[in-house]
Amino acid sequence: MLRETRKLHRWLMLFAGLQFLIWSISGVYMVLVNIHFIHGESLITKEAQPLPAEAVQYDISALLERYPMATNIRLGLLVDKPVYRFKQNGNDVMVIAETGKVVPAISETLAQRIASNSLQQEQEISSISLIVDNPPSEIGARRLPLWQVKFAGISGDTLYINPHNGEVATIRHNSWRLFDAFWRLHIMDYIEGDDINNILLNVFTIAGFLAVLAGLVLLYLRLTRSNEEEPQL
Amino acid sequence: MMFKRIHKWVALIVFVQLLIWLISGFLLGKLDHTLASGRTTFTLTPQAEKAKAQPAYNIQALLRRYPETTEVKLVYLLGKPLYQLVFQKTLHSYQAANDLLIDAKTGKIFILNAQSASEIAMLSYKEQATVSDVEYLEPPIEELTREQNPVWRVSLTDSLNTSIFVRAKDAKIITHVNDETRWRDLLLMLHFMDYAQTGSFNNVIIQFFALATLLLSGTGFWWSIRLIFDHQIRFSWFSKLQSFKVNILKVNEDKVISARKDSSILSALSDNDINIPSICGGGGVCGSCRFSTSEDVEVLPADRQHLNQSLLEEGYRLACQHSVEEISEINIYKSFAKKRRDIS
Repeated sequence: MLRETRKLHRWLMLFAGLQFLIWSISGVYMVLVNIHFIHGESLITKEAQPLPAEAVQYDISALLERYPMATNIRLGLLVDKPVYRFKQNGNDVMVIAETGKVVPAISETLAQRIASNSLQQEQEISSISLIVDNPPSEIGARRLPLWQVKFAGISGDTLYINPHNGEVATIRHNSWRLFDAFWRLHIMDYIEGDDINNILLNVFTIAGFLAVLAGLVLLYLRLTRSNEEEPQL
Repeated sequence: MMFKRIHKWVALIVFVQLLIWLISGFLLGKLDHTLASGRTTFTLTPQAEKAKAQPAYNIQALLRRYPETTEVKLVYLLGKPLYQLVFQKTLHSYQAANDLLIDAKTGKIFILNAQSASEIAMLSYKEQATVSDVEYLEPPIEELTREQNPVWRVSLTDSLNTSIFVRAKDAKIITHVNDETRWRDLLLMLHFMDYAQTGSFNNVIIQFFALATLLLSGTGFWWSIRLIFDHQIRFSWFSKLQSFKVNILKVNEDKVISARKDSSILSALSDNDINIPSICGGGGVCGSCRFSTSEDVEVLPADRQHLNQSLLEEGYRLACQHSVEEISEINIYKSFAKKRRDIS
C-alpha cells in the first residue's frame, strides 16, 4: 500500500506540484502585504483640509434651482477651492462654490498639481497623459477620460484623475500590479482575472486534493511504522 | 536529505489547513456570487423620491458651526434632504468615521432611528417580505466583519433570511445579507483563517500557515526535481523488459527475473515475489533496501546518506534508487516469504 500511495502522490504532484508552489508563493505575498497598502491608502495623504466657510458664497439652494435634476451633490475642495460636484444626466459637473461658475474639465497643469498634492511623499512626475480610449488593463472598466499621472520613483506610482471632478479615481503601484499578477496565478484565470470557477482551477484543485490525501496516507504510514526493523543485509 | 525531513514534518503541521484551503476554495467557486452579494433583492431608491425636497438651511452657516468639515454631501432620506458632514476622509465606507447627519431644512442634528432605518431598508428591497426585527449594532458585527461603524440590522421574513444593514452615520444601505452570503462568509473565514472575524486575510495565523505551506511545497518541488534528475521518475511509458540475475546469499540460490527497464530494482524484486526489507516503501528515506553488485553503478545522494564509504566501495546501493537497466546481476541477503508489513 505504501508503494502505491507513494506512486500516486508522486504522479499527482508531478502534475499539480508546480501549481502548489504558485499557490503558496502568491498566497504568502497576499497575506503578508497589507491590503490597505496594496489599495494605495498609505501613499495618499490622509489629512483632508477643512472647507473654508467664507469661500462658500453660492448656496446649495441656488445650485438646486439651476440644476433641478442634479444628483449626488457634494461640497468639497478642488486643491484649495471649495466646489460643488454632482451628476447631471450621468455626467460629472463641477461648480465653484464662491462664484457659482462652472469649472471646465481640468487642465494638465492642474491634474499635475492634484496628483502631487495627493501623494504623501514628494515624487517627481515622469509622464502625464489624458486617456480617452484604450485604457490600460490595470484600471478595469472605469469611465474615461482620465488623466494618467506617472511618478518617477521605483515603486511605479500612477494616479488616475477624473478631469471632470478633479478627484483621484484610483491609484496603482508596482505592489498592486504584483498582487494582481499573483491573484491571477492563484485563481488560474490568467486573462480576465475574475473567474474562480474555471475548469483549469477545478481540475488542479481536485488533483491537488487527491495528492494531499495520498500524502496524508504516506505520512500516517511513515509515522506508525516502527523503525526498529533494521536493515538485513 | 534535510528537505525530505522538513517536507514530512511541515506536512504534519499544515495538512488540515491544506485540505481546508482546497475544499473552501473549490466551494467558493461553486457559489452563486450574485445572490451572495445581495444584488438580487436590492433596488436603488427611485430618483423621484430623492429630488422632491429642497434644502433651506444655509450651507455657509453650517460650515461655521462645524469648521472641521472636509466635505458636505446632500443625501435624501425618505424624501427628506439631509447634509452629511464628513470629518475624516476614508477610502472605504466601512472604515470608521464619525460623520454627522444634519436636517437640511432646520439645521438640526438628525439621528437615524429604528423606524426610518427599517423604512429605507424596505425601500431598497425588491421582493415582498415583512420586517421581523430591527436592531442597533456596534462593531464588531458578526455578519459584517469589515464594518467599523454602528449599523441598524433590519431582519426580514423571507425564504433566504435576508437581513438589511443600514449604516447609522450616513443612513446608507450597506448590503443585503442572506443565507448564501452567510455561507460565502463562512467559506471566506475558513480560507483566510480569519477566526478573529476581522474581515481581513492579513492575520498572523494565516501568515504562519502560508509560510509553512511555502516550505512544504518548496521542499516537495525540490524533491520532484531531484527525482527527475536522479532518473527515479521516468516518462517513458512503453519501456522494454530486461532480465537480471539475483543471488540470494543466505540460501545460496539464484533467480533470473524480468522487469521493465525503467522500474526500480526494489519494485522489480517485489513484483517477482522477492522481498527485501523496505520500511519507507521506496522513498530513499529509510536506507533498508540494500543490495550489492560488482558492476559499476552510480552513487546517488540517498545511497551516500545511508551507506558508509566502505559499503559503497563494496558495491552496496539502495534498491529503490536504481533502475533495472543499470544492472545485470545483484546480490541480496535473503528474501522474505511474503511482503512484510506491507500487506495492502
